[in-house]
Amino acid sequence: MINREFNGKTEDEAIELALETLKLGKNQVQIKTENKSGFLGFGKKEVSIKVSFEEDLLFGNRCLMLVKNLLEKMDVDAKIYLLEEDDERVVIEIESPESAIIIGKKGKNLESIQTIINVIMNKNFKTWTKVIIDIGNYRMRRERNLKKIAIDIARQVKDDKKPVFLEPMNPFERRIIHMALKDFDDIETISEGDGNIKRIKVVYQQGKV
Amino acid sequence: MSEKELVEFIAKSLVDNADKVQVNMVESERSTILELSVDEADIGKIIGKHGRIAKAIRTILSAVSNKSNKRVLLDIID
Repeated sequence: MINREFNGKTEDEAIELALETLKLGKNQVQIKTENKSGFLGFGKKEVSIKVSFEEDLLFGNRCLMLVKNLLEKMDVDAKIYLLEEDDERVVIEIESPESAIIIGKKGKNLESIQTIINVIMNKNFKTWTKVIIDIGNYRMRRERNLKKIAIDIARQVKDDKKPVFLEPMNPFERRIIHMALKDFDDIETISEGDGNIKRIKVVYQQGKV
Repeated sequence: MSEKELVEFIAKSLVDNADKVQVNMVESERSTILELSVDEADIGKIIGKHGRIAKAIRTILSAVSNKSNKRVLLDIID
């Protein structure tokens, strides 16, 4: 059994926070209310609840099961590991001799798998716990490449003072570019286009730091 | 056929009314069409904003069918 404590101004608020954070239904947990009548501030009261649930129901463990089942249905051979887990994000690593199928052209398949897993795991909740799925360090290598591209292009733009469009990228990739050039002198990055896949325009802007 | 099971699995995981998920297989000479139907209230969950989820399902499907050299298409019935 896993035990977690949550606080709220009211019992309902504490329960809602707990279920949102854990991404569980009320019927999947046991809730014990401990009324804290501590003298916080000017008699401000907080309600504290203790939530218990089976270890299998931990968000990370459920993600792991879902990815395992999906890859089985896709008929690919793979081992899956949980690398990181907190209330904001979960990182899952896939190890597979068929990694080419799982990754796809420019990471298209991996991106689709990640999208589906995220939507399923966060369905019917208000807050979003991000599930990151990596394979053979693909994302780490891609990140390193994107950073290098960003810096190269920024240097070129700074020399020529002419804007350059990067290839279309998903939000994850665009974020890496924006972050890499955030503190680059005289360079501004702007996303252009509609929908999920946009292009970044790298422009010269004197004095921007 | 495993592609049918794959689509069924993804669809059932995405929707609220899993028992209303149906996948019909229509085979022709050159390709296989999977006709997916779900509860009316769940259509949005299958398609997603700007068709993002439907596109992801199709991408996964084509990844698998490329492996088996088959052409499998997904039709979402609404």
